[in-house]
Amino acid sequence: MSALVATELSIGYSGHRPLIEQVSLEAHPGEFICVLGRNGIGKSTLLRTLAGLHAPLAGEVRLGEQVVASMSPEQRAQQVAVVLTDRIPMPGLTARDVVELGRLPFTSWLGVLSTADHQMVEESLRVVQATALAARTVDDLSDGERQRVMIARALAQRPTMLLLDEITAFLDLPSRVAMMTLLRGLARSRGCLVILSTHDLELSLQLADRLWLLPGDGLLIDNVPEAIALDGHVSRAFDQQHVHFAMERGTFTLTPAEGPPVQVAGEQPARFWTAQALKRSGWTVDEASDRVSVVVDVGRDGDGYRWVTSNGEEHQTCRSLAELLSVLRRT
Amino acid sequence: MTAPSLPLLVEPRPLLSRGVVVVALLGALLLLLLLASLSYGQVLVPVAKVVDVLLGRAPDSPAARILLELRLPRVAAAILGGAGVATAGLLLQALFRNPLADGWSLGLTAGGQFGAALVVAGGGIAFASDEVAWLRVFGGLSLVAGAALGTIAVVIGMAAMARRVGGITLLVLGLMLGFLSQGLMSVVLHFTNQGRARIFASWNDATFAGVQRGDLVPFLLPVLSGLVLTVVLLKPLSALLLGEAYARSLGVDIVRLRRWALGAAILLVAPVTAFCGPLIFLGLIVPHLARGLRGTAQLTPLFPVVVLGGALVALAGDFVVHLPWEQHFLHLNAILAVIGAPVVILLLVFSRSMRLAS
Repeated sequence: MSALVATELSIGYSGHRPLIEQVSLEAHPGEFICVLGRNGIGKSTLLRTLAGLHAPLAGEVRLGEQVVASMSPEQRAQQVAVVLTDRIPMPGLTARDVVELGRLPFTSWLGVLSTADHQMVEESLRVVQATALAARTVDDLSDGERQRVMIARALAQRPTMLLLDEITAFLDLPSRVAMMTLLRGLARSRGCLVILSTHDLELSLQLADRLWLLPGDGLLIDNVPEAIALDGHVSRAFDQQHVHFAMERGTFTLTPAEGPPVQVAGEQPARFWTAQALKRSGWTVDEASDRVSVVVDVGRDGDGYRWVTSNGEEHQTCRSLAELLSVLRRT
Repeated sequence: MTAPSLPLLVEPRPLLSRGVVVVALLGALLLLLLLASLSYGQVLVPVAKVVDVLLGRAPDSPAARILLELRLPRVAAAILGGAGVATAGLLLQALFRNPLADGWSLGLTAGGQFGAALVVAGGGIAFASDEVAWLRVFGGLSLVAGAALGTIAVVIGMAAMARRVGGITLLVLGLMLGFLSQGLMSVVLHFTNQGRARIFASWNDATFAGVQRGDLVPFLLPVLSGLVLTVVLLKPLSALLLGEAYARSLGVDIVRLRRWALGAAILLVAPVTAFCGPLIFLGLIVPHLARGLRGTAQLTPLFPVVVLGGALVALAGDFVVHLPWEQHFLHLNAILAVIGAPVVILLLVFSRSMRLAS
């Protein structure tokens, strides 16, 4: 199988500043790579350039022995498959029609599919669990179902490199997790290089083999996810006034306002969620007991929980989180 | 993996696939209608006699004259014209990614008509005193050339417009071009010879009866080459069903495809317009009927169904028009409108794709 090698690659549109400048990259079959970066930073252009659908400003992209930009369209189609975000109407086409069209680069001039082609189509549908959708019109499918079919179409192309542009954008969280797990599994089982551009930083950190982070200024940071987080690149690329990347948890959190300090005691998970509720309502949750004036103690009470607040003199018991918040608001 | 325990991935194909059944059925219907069309008319020629004439067993008989001079050219024009216009519809719907596109709705027919009208008018002025020379201009190649030029002009304009406006707007523009061309034609003919204009006035309607035996070559060649070109383009056009970006990723050169496909559409539409006038609705509805019959939107399996379907609808319309009616007021376009308009209305109201396109 052939590796993807980009040498001193600059991408963008002539007449504008390059989106990425003088970057060298290497990626291998079987890898699942996530491309991250803010909107308009050049994720799609990078993917289009790697796919050979857009010419690089400088440098070159090689897939195995061949330079992608100088491959014939037919050769390229036999090696590189893409899945895009846009939901373009495809009047009358069924899911199976769409997947069958993925075999076109391998058919004769009339585009008639052989038995082997048909088998690959059915197999691709099965891999993404879309066999049940095969007879339905693509335009009638939900976003998640449709993206699965589009992935099946790309798989039917038997690509060495699969490029997916923000395909998780319109999906709900469980579908996003399922989709990204599926892609990682495909990279492993097919030994194909899978590159996904996404906004799902937290999932990418957990699932990708490598991240390509586009922080702007023409840079591209290529490393394993944890190293990118640890070096503070994620924070630098994404932190904003009210949101920051919590290094110790690997998630984005609201930057808390400085409020009166409170201490939370009790068992997990009740302690965690109580602390979350308090942070949200403007308290600063502090572990050190000498600086706080209010202590909240959460404990089991039958099937539910109860909260006891104390400010040194008075104790008050609350039966719900909502009650606790309103009691604390009055103190 | 143990191969024998694997389930069969592809269901075994039935001996007679849906495609074969549909094509055979349409072919048989076409053949029947062909015989009926040759047989029926103001003069009834028995089917046995028709077969005799076609096999050359009855030369110089009155029946042979009726069949070979009148009915056969008309029927051939209907079959070829219907097939051509329907194929152009299939082509243009895929190319413009618009379910209501065809030569008529995009204004190609209007451009062709106006081009042909200019040739007639120009011939009328140039050969004002020479009736025979003028008639020679009116028939044949020059008429096709005029129609082709008009069609090319509209094709270039519409292809450029398609990048700026939505699908529905494009269709409204196409229909407006139709009115414009009708208006301009009236104006042009108003200033040319009145008597000759009358020949042309019938052009508001379409008819296959105007095609003479000698016309068949300028009519036949472009339409046949258009059909052949379409077959070659079926594969890249199928990829275009997924949209331009996916088509490119499947190895299709979009610019080249667009150029060739528009060329094919011109070859299919211009001669039919030149010889038969504006065939309305036919190219628009036949691809949809074919999709319904064939159960797919993929172009390669649709093509033979569209060719046969187009021929069948055109020939059926022509057959009804030429039945031995008491009075002759039934027009081909009237029949096509009665069949076509409801189909379009249903598409507009119920087709999800149509709503997405607008």
